[in-house]
Amino acid sequence: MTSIRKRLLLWLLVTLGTGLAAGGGAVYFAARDTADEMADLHMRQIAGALPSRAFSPISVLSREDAVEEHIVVQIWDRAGRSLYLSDSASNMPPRGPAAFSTVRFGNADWRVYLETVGDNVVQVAQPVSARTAMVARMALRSVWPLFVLTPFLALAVLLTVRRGLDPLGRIAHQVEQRSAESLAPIPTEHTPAEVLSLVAALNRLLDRLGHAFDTQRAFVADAAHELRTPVTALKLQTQLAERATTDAERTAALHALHGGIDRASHLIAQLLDLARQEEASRSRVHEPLRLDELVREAVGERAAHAFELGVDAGVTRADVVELNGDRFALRALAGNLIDNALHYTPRGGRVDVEVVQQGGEVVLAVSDSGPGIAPEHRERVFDRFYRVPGSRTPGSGLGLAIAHGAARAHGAVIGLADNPGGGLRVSVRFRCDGAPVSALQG
Amino acid sequence: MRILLVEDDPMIGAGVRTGLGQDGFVVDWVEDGEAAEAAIATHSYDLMVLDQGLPRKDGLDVLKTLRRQGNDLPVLIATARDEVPARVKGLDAGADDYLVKPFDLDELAARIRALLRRRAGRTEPLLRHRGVEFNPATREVTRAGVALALTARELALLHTFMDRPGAVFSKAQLEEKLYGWGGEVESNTVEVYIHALRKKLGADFIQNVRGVGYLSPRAAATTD
Repeated sequence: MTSIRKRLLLWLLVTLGTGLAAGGGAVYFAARDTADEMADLHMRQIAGALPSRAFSPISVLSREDAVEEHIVVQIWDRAGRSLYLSDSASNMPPRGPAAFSTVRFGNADWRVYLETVGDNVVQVAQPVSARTAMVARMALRSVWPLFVLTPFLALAVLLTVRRGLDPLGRIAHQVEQRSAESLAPIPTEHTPAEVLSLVAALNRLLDRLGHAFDTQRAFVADAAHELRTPVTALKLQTQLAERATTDAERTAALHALHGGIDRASHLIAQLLDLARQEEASRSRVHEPLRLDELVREAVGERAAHAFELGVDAGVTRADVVELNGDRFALRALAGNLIDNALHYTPRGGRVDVEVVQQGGEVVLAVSDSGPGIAPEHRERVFDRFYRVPGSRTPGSGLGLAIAHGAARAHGAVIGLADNPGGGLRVSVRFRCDGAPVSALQG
Repeated sequence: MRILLVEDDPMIGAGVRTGLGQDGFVVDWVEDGEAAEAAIATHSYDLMVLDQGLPRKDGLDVLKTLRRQGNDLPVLIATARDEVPARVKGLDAGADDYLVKPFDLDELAARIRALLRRRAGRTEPLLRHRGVEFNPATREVTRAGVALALTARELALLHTFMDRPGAVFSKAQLEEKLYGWGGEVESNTVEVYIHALRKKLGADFIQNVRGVGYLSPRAAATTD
C-alpha cells in the first residue's frame, strides 16, 4: 500500500534534510575560510605588534588565546642570531621570504608567517592541527542555529502534510457513511481543486448506483406484484375445488388450478432467466456454439405444447451458424420469442422460426400469425412487465424484456415488424464478428 | 343480487364469477374500464367488484367518473397493490371497501354481503320479514322456525324482496336480478318463480301491483 502522507513526508524530510545539510556545509566551509583568514590576520597582528627595536614579546604573547592556539613566536636579529623563542620545544629554523607558508617540522604541519620588523626577523608559527580545531570550532558556532531549527522545520512539515491531507480524510468519512439505503452525493463545498474531480466522479458513481438500486427495488416490487396475480388465481381455484359438489365442477376447478400453476411456474422461470441474465452480463462467459442447433432444440422442446394449442410451429430455414455466445441467454432468447409467438397465435395459426446468414450478419427471426403489436406499443413492449393494453391472453410481460436483454448482451439488435402474412415478426440480428449491429431493420 | 365484476385477468375473473355464483350472486364480468362503464350505463347493479389496474381505462378513473356522476353504487376494490398510499387513494376515490390479492373467496363474499347490508341500512346480518328469516351468508330460509328448501333463483328473488320490504319491483328489474349476461330470459319465468315463492311462503308474501310490478308489503309484517 502506498500512502500519500508517507511519501510526502519522506520526500519533504529528505529534501529538507539535504537542504539543511547542504546549507550547513556551505555555511561551515565559508565560516572556516573566514576563520582561517582571521587566524592568518591574527598571526600578522602578533608579528606587527612586536616593537621593532627593544623587544619584550612577553607582553604581546601573554594573551591566553595565543598560548591556547599554540602560537610559537621566534625572533632573530639580522645576523641570524636567535633573540627570542616563546616555546623551546618548537625551535624551528627561519623560513623563506616574508610570507605565509605551510611547512613540515617534526611530526606536524605548521602554518608559518615570517616578517622583518625593524632590525629583527619575526616568525610566527602555529600547528595546523591546532588551527584546524579552532577554525572548526568557530565555523560550527555559525552553523548551530540550523541544527536547532531542524526539528521545528520537521514538525512544521509534519503538521502541514497532515493539514493538507485533511480533506481526504473528511471525504473518506463521508464515503464511509454511504450505504445502499443512502447514496446522497458527497458535499463539494470546501473541497480542494485536486480532490474535486475525484469527488465529482464518486458522486456520478453514487448517482448511477442509486439508479441501479432504484431499478432493482422497482423490479422486486413489480415481480412481487406480478406474482400476486397467479397466486390469486391459484387460491380462487383451490377454493372452488374445495367447494365443488359435483365431479364436473371439481374437474373444471382442478384443470384451472393446473393452468394457474403452469402460469406461476412460467413467471418464476422467467424471473430466474432475468436474474441469470444480469449475473451473466457481469461474468460474460461466451463460448462457441451452433445457433441453428440451439434454435432447433428450442422449437423441438415446444413441439408438444404447440400441438396441444393447435399451432403449426416449425423451422423454415436454418443455416449453419457458429457464433460466440452465452448458451443460457441465447436459449432464453429463442425460447421466449417462440413462447410468445405460440402464446398469441390462435388455434390453427402458424409460427415460423428461421436462422439466416446474410453476409456478415446472422438473423434469427420468429414469425407468427397472431394479432401483432401496434406500432405505438413497439417501443414499450421491451420494458419489463409491460403488456399491451387490452391483451386478452394472460402473460407476464417479461418474455420480450428477457429476449431484449439477451440480445443486448450479444451485441445483437432486436426488431419488431409486421409479418407479411399477418401477425408479428421478431428478428434478432447478430454480427458474426461480434461487432455491434449498425442498422436496425425488420 | 347482481354484481359487476371488472377484472382483466381471465383466470381470476372466471374464478370469482364461479365462486360468487355459488354464493348466490348473479355476476357480470367485464375485462376493462370502458366495458365496465358501458355495463353500468345499461344495467342496474347492486355492487361492483373493481380491479385497480385495468386496460383501456384505469379502475380508479372508472370509480371517479362514477362518483362524479352521482352514482352511489357500492364499490369494492380488489387489487394486488397493497401499499398504504394505494389503499388510501382507492378509498378516497370513492371505494367502499378494499381487498388485497390474493384474497379469500369467502371473505370477498362476506365483504360483499356487508356492503349490501350497510347500503340497505341494516346492521343485522339476518333478514327478517313477515315471519320469514333469510341468512344471506348461509342462504338458509326459515318460516316460523321451519327450514325451507328454495332453488337458487327463488333465493335470489326472495333476497331482492326482503332487502327492500315494501318496494315495488318491475318485472324487468326482477329479471335483471335473476339473470346475468348469457342467461336467456324466457317469458313468464319471473311469474313462475313468484308463484313458487308464494306457494312456499304464503300467498300474501308477494303481491302484484297491476301494470306496475310486485312487492312484499310491510303492512302485515310480523314483529319477530
